Amino acid sequence: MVILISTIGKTITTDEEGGAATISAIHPDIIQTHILTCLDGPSLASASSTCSQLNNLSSNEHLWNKICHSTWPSTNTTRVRHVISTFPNTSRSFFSDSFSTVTANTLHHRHHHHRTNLETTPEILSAVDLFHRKRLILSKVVETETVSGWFRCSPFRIDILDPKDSVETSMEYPRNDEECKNLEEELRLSWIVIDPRGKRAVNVSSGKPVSVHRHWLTGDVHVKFATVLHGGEKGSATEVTVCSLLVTLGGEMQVREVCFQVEDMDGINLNGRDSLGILQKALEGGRKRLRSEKEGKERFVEFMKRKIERKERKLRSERRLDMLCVGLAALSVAAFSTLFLS
Amino acid sequence: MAEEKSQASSSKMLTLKASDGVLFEVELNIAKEMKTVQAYIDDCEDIETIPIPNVLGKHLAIVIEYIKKTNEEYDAEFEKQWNMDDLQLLLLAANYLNISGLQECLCKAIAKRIENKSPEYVRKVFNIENDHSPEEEAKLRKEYKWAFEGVDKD
Repeated sequence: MVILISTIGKTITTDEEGGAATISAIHPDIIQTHILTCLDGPSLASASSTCSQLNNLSSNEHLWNKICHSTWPSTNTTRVRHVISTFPNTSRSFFSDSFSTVTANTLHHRHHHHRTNLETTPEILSAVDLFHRKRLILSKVVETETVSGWFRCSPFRIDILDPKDSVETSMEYPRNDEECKNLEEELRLSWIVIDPRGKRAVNVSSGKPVSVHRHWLTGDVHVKFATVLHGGEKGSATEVTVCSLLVTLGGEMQVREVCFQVEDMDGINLNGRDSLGILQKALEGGRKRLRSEKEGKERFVEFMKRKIERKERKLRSERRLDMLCVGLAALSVAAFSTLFLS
Repeated sequence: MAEEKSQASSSKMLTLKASDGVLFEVELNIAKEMKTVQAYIDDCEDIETIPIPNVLGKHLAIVIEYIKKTNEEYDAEFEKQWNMDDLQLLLLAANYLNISGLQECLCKAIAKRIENKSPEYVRKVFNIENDHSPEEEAKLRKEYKWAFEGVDKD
């Protein structure tokens, strides 16, 4: 028997020719288990924004859970599943947090000064998935504590693989620049930083690589993914920082290393404490979908340009200072000698 | 005797009467794919005309054709022919008649058509009214801001 739901909008009458159909006449179970399960994250969000009935149906945990696991297989581990279940809207808010990248001006908080609060984030989880041509080649979760002095003071770095480990892949070694460019199109990385205590997550990867090149000496292939974060103290080296993810593949195209570091405009890797501060701001900041797949790389290229400009500015001001010193010295010598001679 | 009877029942024809009075003569095994009809037959064996009050003649014709022809290729082409209204009415028909294969095929087709579209488009397509309060609407827009970007043009 078909159960007609109390209708929102117009009711259905099949004996009228050309009567308008409405989705609310279909049993909600069917809508949920057959229609909504076929949708991807953004489409499901769209559907839930249409009316309250669909909103209720779309909020089903199972639906979003399935979408999270299929987008990021690493989220299917026990620890991560448990952490996601503590999020305000469980899988739906986790997806919302991790699907898009942080907005460019995420660090710009006019209203309150943010201090790195180590107590609020005693540990972070990293859920990492690497894809080649849409096939998963690496999926891992790493837990990193953030309270020890060692973490705070040493340069921030999270490694997914142990030094001796490597992961075999069936990729072919790129023999020239064109093949490197192809790899740029074929590789995808997602690195989701999860704050279990703050119940938030953020994806720090650019999705597609910003660069792929072969190391001139070792022949290793370096694939770089990066997310640029603005809004630090103006004029300082941390005005703009970049979350830099490097995947290193050996000669046999085995993944040797996948690591995460945070760099400032002077090319210096920030220490644990400062990096955590940046991450905390990113976790709290807004989310935006990239306009196009290329936007991540464009932002990184712009960052590199600004980095070079900053270096040149510094060099120029140093040179000016040098000239000033030389000028002063010459002046004092001249003054001295006139004193002596007179 | 029993053999004769079973032979007779396999070629037995049944009449289905749509809501607008159109009659369809179908073979018993086709009609049995519709579990609702099957239940009717189980209830009263001698019945010859079964009323289908919720389904228009044109849709019943499409449903019967689907059952006769269904296979992977046919399914792939099937869903492209119909507009959104027809798809929904067909889904209601498939739901009433309890034909799981057709139901699944139609659901997938409907899902494909709302993939990557804005909420306004989905509302238009499904003929739903937005019953969210302005606060709820604002909250949803904020939460799903990322979903509204990059959707296909309506």
